[in-house]
Amino acid sequence: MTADALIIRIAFGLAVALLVSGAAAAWISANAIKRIAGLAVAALGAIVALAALGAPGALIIAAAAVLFAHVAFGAALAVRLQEAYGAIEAPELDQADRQDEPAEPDL
Amino acid sequence: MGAYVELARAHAPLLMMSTAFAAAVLATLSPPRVSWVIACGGALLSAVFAFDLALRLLLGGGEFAFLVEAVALETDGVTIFGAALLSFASVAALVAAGAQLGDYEKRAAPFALALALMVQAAWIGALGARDLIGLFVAVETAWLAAVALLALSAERSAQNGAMRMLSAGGVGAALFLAGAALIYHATGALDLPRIAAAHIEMADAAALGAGLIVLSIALKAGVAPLHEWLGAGFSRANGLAAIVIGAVGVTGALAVLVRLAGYFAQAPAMGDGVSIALALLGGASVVIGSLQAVGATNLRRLAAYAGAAQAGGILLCVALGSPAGVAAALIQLTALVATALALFGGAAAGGVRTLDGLDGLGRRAPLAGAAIMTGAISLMGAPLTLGFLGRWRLVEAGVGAGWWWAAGAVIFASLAGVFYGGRLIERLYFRRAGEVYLGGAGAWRFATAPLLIAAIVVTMLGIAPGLLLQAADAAAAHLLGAAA
Amino acid sequence: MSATFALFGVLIAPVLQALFVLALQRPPGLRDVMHIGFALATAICAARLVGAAADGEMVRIALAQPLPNVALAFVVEPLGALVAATIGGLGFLHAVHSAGIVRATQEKAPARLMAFMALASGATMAVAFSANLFTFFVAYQVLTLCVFPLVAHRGDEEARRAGRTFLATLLTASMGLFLPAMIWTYAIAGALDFQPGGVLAGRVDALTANILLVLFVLGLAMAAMPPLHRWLPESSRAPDPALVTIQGVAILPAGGVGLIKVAAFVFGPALATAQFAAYGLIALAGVSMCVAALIALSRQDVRERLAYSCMAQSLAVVLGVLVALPMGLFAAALQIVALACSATTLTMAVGTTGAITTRRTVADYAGLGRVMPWTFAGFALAAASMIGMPPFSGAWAKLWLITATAGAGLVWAAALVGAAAVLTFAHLGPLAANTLAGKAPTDAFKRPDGASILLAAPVILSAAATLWLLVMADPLSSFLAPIWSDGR
Repeated sequence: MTADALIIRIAFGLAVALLVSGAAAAWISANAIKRIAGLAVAALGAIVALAALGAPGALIIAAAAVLFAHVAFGAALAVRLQEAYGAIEAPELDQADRQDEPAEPDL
Repeated sequence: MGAYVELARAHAPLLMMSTAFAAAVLATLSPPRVSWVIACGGALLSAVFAFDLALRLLLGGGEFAFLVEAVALETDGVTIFGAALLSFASVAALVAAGAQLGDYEKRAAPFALALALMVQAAWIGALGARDLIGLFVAVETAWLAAVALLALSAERSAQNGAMRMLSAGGVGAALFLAGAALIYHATGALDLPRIAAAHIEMADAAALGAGLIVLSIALKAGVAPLHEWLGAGFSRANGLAAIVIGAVGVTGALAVLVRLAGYFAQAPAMGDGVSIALALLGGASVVIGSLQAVGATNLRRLAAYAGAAQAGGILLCVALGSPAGVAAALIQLTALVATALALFGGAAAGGVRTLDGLDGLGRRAPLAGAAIMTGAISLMGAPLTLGFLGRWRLVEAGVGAGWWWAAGAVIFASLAGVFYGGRLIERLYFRRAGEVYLGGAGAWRFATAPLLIAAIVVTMLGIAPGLLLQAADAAAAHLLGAAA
Repeated sequence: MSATFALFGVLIAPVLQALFVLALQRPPGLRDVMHIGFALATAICAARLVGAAADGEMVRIALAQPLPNVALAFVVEPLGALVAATIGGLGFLHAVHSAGIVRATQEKAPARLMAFMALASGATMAVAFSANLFTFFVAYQVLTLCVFPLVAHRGDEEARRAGRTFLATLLTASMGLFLPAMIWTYAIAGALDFQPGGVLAGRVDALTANILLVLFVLGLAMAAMPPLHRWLPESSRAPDPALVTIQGVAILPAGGVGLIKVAAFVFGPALATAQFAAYGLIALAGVSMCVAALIALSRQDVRERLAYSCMAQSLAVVLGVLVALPMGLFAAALQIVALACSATTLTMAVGTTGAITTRRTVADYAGLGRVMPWTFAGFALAAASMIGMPPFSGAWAKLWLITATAGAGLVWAAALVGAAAVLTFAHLGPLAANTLAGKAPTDAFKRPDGASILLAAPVILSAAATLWLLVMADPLSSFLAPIWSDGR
């Protein structure tokens, strides 16, 4: 195996690791900040994968722009959540929402 | 005048998208009621282009010949069918938005309308994208616009739902990119037609890449078990956001999925893997969505989970990989749009969030009650509704391919629909109202009437579906022919 | 009146009846005139169609093409015409009776009640004249949805529970069992049309035929075949006019007609290849007839007793159909007619009694026949028909049924029919006799003027209808012969 091929494989492996760990954090984390951080890590992993597999520059740039938008939007939302709820943990947010909503009926 | 019309027709695929974008820009610069008029006009103009294309090309057998644009577009049958469906749903949603602008702060209302238009325009753009770059940008634009629309509501719970939606969508975006990277690595192309025709040596990488892209779009379509954002998003959305996300967003994602599957199916190295993935996802979504809908206690969650079950049926159709399967998917997609408009629109018109808010709604708000009932019977798969027609076409296509278990999935979905749909009908007409009617006052409350009437009419297209069947068959045949 | 116009008439007149009744609720007299007038029009159109069927006229209409190769179509054929004419005539009497009942009991939302009764009547006509399995399925679903509001009419918790059971059972059975059978039939035969001689004839192996038969029979839960029969006793607390619709002129007859159409026009001779399933279902039906009759004996509320009694009679239709002989199909058709006549009479009589005296239990019925002679004369005649006593229509139906089962070598099934008849006598005979022989109560009437003509006349007239099979049985045999021909 040539050095280039080895580097590509290592880079792709790193990309997969970043993507999977970031996606898992973004999906299951209760803390909004950790979700955003997980998104950022997953985004980084996706961009590394693109670069490792030789994707066109246009796609990498588009990916970077879009994923940056996700992270920025997420950060703004996290700030709004902190202002509105005084918390950013999902169980606390859900509890506050349940108190706001009318009680559900018995079926 | 005729020359201008011909010029517009030649640029129709681009104009379908750009009129909505332009209207979105103009809407942000105007006061709320003026922006509503601009938004409705923009959506309507986009719909005119889309329906004109559908009439000429799908029903009239015209030639798919368009001018080359600066934006890379590839217009096939599903593009046209999906764009017509999306623009119809968007027009209905935006007209009904006239009754719901009070849910927003005065400064935010024009932006809400603009974001709704962005959702429409971006999904139409995704449907017409020629390559994976354009597809990615369009899909993520639509998603972010939908999240922003949800977050813009005055209620803080909407922001909680928006955060869930954003993080799920972000994961989907990362998966999409990983999939695109693998496909490029295996095929050397990002153009959809070239991918379909490529000589693929690294079949596993290509199949994995296609699978990741399918997963990404399926997540955005609310397909179970990837639908973690669905319940939180819908139950906390206000009227406009629920209608736009449920009827326009989910439809757009599913239409894109149908289109993508059509291209991937033509590449043998990818087709089988994608078919298996779609079949598994579809079956799981039918079962999980149906069970969750049976257990739902919030009306919007119930509608969202029922939509997940319908989305599963669409995936099963597409998994067949045949023209009959794709045509059945488009019929089910139409049924999904009508049902979503009926349920979300009826809930918005009646000011209903919880199931007990439906009690006696049939008498208090007859049109809203009729729309919800129509949606409920379509979900049951009652004959003469579009829901039944879509399921019948799936069974026909499935049995033709030896997929008898697809018929079992349809029966299961119908049985579940009997339970949760029957519950809705019982509350609408056989219980007394327990709470004050929150449907709103003033003349603007009638703005939801066109949406409700449209939903009822489209659902009952099951009585005479000839034109719809013809359009779906033509769209499917063109997609699979264009992809070959 | 042309036959095509008459066919449109039986389908559209009930819809117009519902619309006019809702639109013209005030004054009540106008509402009742609309209700009775359109019911009469429906009956006249149905009678015209009997003539058309007897003359062999080919009358078919297609309203829509909702699926490729499948139309929403209706056709005039002898079985459908016979059932339609029967329920059309009884429906007219029911309309008159219901107009009187809602006034006497001050029933809530009478216009809504009448409207859904009319729609149910229209849906039953659609079932009777359906030209293919798809149209039948559509009409069946519509009928279910139209009768559901009748069951849940009173809106209290008991009514809602009954409505839920009704809707859930019938829709689940039709979606979960009948629909798969329909799809499977389409896959095998490529068509869903009802054909004399059976669309599956020569196309199915034994295993497929057996499974299809079970799916079709259980899928038609309107026939009250266990274990999908709970809806019938649960709905026995519905308003009295609704009970007539459920037990007499809509639901039970629709289930019976559906079974005969499936046996004759879908299976045809292929029914013989499903012998294993058929014998199993015959055993289930036969035992259930006896058990239902026994349960009826234990019920003190007259409405519940009648519900189980009607269930037993409906199962006799199932038994006749499954015998897989022309004689069995004929017996089943006669049984549908006899059941419709006697069930309608009994439920109307119970309704009249409840409205005038508020008495609902067996013990309270003693001697009422002495103060309400016409009503309980009708009750007694109908009870005799249900039991199977000659010369009433039920007797001829049972006779043909026993002959058919014995002729098929199913002596045990014939014995079960006989046992069920004895048990039916046990739960209806003393009841009917006691109303006439018991001591007349002195405080019977809650209404000072007793039963109006609107309440009494329909009962006695429909009781008289239980006699007509006495003279019509033989002509009916040749009239119905085409339904079990092989189509050549």
